[in-house]
Amino acid sequence: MKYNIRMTTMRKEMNRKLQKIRSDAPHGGEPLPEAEDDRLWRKCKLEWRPLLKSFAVLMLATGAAALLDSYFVENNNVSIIYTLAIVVVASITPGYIYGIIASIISVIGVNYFFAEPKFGFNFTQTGYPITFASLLVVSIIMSTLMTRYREAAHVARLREMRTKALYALTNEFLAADDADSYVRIACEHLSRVCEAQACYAPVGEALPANVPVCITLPVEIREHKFGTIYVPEQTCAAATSENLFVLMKMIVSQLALALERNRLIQEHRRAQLQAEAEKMRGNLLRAVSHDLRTPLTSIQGASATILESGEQLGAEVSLQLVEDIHENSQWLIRMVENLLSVTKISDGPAAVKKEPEVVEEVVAQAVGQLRKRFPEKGIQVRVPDDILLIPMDATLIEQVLINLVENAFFHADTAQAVEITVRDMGGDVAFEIRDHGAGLDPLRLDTLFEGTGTNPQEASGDAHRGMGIGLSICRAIVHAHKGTIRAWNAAEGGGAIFEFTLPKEEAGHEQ
Amino acid sequence: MNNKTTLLIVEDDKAIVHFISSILSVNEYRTLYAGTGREAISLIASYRPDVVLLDLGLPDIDGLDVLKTVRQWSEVPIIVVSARGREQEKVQALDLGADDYITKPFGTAELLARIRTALRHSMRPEATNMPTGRFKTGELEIDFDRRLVMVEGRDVHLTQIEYKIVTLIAQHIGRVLTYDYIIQQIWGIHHTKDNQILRVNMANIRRKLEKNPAEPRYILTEVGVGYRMVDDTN
Repeated sequence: MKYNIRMTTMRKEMNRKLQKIRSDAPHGGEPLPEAEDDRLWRKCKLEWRPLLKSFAVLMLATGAAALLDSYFVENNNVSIIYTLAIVVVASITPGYIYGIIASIISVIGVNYFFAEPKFGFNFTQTGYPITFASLLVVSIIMSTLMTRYREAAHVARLREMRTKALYALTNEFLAADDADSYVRIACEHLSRVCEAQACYAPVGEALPANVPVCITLPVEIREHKFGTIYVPEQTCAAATSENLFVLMKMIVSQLALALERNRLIQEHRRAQLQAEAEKMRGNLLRAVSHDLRTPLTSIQGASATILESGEQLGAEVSLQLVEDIHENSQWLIRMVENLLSVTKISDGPAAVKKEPEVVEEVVAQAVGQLRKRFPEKGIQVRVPDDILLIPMDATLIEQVLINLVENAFFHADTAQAVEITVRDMGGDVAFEIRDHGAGLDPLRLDTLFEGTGTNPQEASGDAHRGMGIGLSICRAIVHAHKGTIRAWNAAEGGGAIFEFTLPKEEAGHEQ
Repeated sequence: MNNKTTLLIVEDDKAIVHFISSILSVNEYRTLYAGTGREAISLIASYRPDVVLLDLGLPDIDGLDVLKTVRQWSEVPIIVVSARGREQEKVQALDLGADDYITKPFGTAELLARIRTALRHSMRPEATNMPTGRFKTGELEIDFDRRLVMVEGRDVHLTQIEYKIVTLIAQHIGRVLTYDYIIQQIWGIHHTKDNQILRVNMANIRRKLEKNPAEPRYILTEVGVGYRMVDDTN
């Protein structure tokens, strides 16, 4: 039903474009070659224009011959002039018939005007059959050559036209990236070719029953059928022209190819995302099973110590233990927040519910959370003056910001503030998180977002274990928003830079 | 003291009840406790607590139903306790008459601040008519009589709509107002899905009132829920 509506709007759109194409045609649009499949039929039928042309040429020849005849008594040029005339006639008229007619007239003309007796017929003259036969042969050879040449030229022109049309089509296909635009482009081209509106009905959608359909072409590749192209108008040019019909078929198979490629790409992308989500879930589970035990053990141990021997412990030791409990429980809370994010995106990008959000509000919320948790750390935030509303799941993006800034806090190990900068990049919005610490280990840059767990050399007793999983969750969330994420070391001043981008517009519908 | 402020904690987890009641008694509140929704309703009816802290995940009935039932006969301030990521639930609770919400896990300072705000609002019911006099929080000052808004003594030029939004939020300082509520109050539109007009107006207000729109001092965004003016007396 939904698709139906889309199709109708598409058709309307196309109608409008078609009108434009038609009105443009006299000025800009390349005129399509006439249908010439009726050439055979034309060979046998006399038309006025070539006939008149032939007569004019013959008259000229006669005039010229008469002129020459009056100057020179012994005149052998008459036949040559007529031969020339026949060559001209054969080359400027289509088919054989005019050439033959011209040669017959020439023989009669030579006989009547120039052979003795002048202005009378004498068919018994010696050599006469030779003149007649040679003129006839010249005319037939010339006509044949010209016809062949013209046919070859015509075929070449057709080929060129098809190649051009297909080239234009593939060019437009290259610029498009979803099934809807492929169909729209193909329909536009078909509409231009057949001079009637071509429509597309996907599989499962019936062709309009009440409209007399002129041409239907299945859009299919191997066994996979995508839909049907049909032209509802009886007046379409392709119905009478084999050549245009062939071109239509070529366009349709190009469309099928494009749709197939699109389908494969989508399938591949889906599989890739699924694999990524799968991998992340696996990593997360591993991290959870490994890393949850440690803080829990610490909490349990510390609390048990206070419970069992709180009296003997000094106030300072007790306080230290309680602080440990507090810190470890905070780490557990963060882990659970991340787990929550993963369950939200584990069903793929389609499952992420995006709403237009004001960027600075989301950043402010993340910064607020971070300040609450790390009151001693510095954060500097810069956002553009323009109000940026971009589609996202605010909770998830907040999670990304929190994970990245936390990561900077733990790894930078410096008193300098972490900088969050939001930039408007035109089609995207970029979020940069920069610290002024030691920077990233170049060896780990490639696998940073893989979530392969913590570096074994890192101390495992403090709160930054499991950060690798935090980064892989960041990547999964950003990818679920069709954004990008990367990290590098700052060229100046040192420190690590993490940047992720989110598209401003929701990407087109996927099929 | 007999007239200590009484709080009812509706929560089925004993450990959480324990920690909340300890921190509250340290701060001189009297606490009651209900483990189920039914118990909560009967306790509110019989003890008339001053503030109710209501966890939405209860074993017997939905916390939102408790809220609905209580609101039929009581105006007691109710603070809803909900988890992060369940913004829709929070909005629903606020629309059903909850006074505020707090997100699990929360710190003690945050909890106490919310309780103080709720108590203040219950003691001084909001005037529905036009406010008069002056209002001040931090460096933000509103002169209702002259319809002036000032930050650090400087006049801030707000449009009519922006002024209305700021004063509305200021009158409910410390409490979160849902997008729906604000749109209804300012534009008179009920139950709209589209809150972009408010978001854009608010972004403009932020640019006029705040030094850095990404680190607001006066009006905080509770993403997915609404806006809250910071009560600096807490």
